[in-house]
Amino acid sequence: METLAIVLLGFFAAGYFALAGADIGTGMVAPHLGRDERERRLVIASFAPFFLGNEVWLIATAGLLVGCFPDLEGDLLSGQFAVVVPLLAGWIIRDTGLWLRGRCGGRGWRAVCDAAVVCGSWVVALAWGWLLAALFTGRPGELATGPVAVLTATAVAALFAVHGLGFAAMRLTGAPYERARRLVGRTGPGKSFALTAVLMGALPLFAGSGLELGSSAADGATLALLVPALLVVTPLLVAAQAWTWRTFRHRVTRPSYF
Amino acid sequence: MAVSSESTEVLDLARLQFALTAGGHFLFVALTLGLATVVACIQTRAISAYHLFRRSPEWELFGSGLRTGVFLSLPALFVTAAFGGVQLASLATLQPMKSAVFGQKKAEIAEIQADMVARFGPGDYVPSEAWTRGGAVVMLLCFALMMYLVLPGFVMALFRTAVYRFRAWHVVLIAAVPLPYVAMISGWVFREAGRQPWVVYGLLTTEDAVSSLSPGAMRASLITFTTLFALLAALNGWLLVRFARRGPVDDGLGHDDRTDSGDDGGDAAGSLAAPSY
Repeated sequence: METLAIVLLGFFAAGYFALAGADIGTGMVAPHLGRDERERRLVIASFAPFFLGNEVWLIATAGLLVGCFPDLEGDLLSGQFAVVVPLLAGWIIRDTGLWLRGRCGGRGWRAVCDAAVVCGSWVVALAWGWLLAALFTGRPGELATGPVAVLTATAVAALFAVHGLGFAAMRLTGAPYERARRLVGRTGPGKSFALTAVLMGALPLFAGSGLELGSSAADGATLALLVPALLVVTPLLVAAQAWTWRTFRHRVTRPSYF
Repeated sequence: MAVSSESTEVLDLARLQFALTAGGHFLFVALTLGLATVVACIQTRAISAYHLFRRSPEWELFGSGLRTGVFLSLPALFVTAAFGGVQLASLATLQPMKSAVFGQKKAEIAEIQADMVARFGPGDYVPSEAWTRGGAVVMLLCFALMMYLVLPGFVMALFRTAVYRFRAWHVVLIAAVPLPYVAMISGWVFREAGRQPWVVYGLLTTEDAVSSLSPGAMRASLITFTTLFALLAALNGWLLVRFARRGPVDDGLGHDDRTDSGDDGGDAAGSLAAPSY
């Protein structure tokens, strides 16, 4: 049961980083890809159908942490409080920008919303990097400090951005597509995206390998209740994700609701 | 032994029942009263009333909107209130202290306090009366006001003249918009404040449940998230009012302003094969 819970935690965390990393990364590079209002809207349309579904994987990871690994959750969330607060704030600001962007006509309004999407995406990516820096050293209860923390946070944020570029190169058309493709290089966008997705997914797995997950797992009765329930729900989540990717497999040519 | 396991079973069942009725109260609060349906009903009513009051050209649409809102808010209100009433009844056995504070039963409060000191050690087990009773009273007042509004409204909505011409009624309906929101929030205050000092009644106190964070960190997060959500609530409210005022023709919601859709504009379902996201 314990092993299964650990595998599920790894699966959801890796899934979140590989999937949501794409939409967060695209948000980070949006000002580079979309030079004018219309192009930026197209860039947002490239990940608009995905971001809510991707966030579900983080909610699942957090739920699993609370339910199956309460000790680690307590350690992690109070130890990393200074990272979690900006992480959540950045997430809220980013999503506010996305939801509100199309609701008002003004130029200033859209500029503010664009700024919220871009800044929020950067804050989220940097915060993940900072949090991972603490996990890589095997100390979830303490904030990572010093040059190692700065370097890890920057490197992780850069990986988010490259992952987002790969995703954008797969989804966009026109001038924003050309810009995304130039940065990704001669390798096909699919290959670049697959590579960065593997790297992104490996981040939380590597971080988790340094933690004593087994000893912080909940008691047998709790796991016996939660793990089977998770095993039922997980295929549905995966199917929904696959369905989203299938439905929106075409490149974007026009702006969407956002 | 048999007695103890039987009483545990009774307690578990009582908890389950409480959870289910609480779920019902929340669900119907969420689906009906405070919450989506009553909010929707009351807002539909209010928005329709606003447009009828302003004599907007789409008066027929708003007339039926007002009727739908008024007719639905009656059952929505009563189902929610019924689930709430069932909970108040079971409160006496599950969270006797909350129930006693709500009823201002001095002797009972002292008795439960003494009993809890004996069971859980010294401490103050009496929640704040101002928040507990205050929350409950405000919630019940909102319910009463909504009921006074809904009952005669139900009759008035049967008459065409009242729906289209009774302008004072329109104003009252617009003014009633905050009621379900206030009911929802004060009900929540009653629920949370009345349970103190417990997080899990009789098992875990709030003091023991809180993480070991510095006051500065807690203050920073409180300020950050309160500011963010206050801002979001204000923005959301402003947008809701804006769209409500615009009426059905140019509300802009769901309106497709994709710039290059002109070439294939006007088609119905034919061009949906390739999603444009």
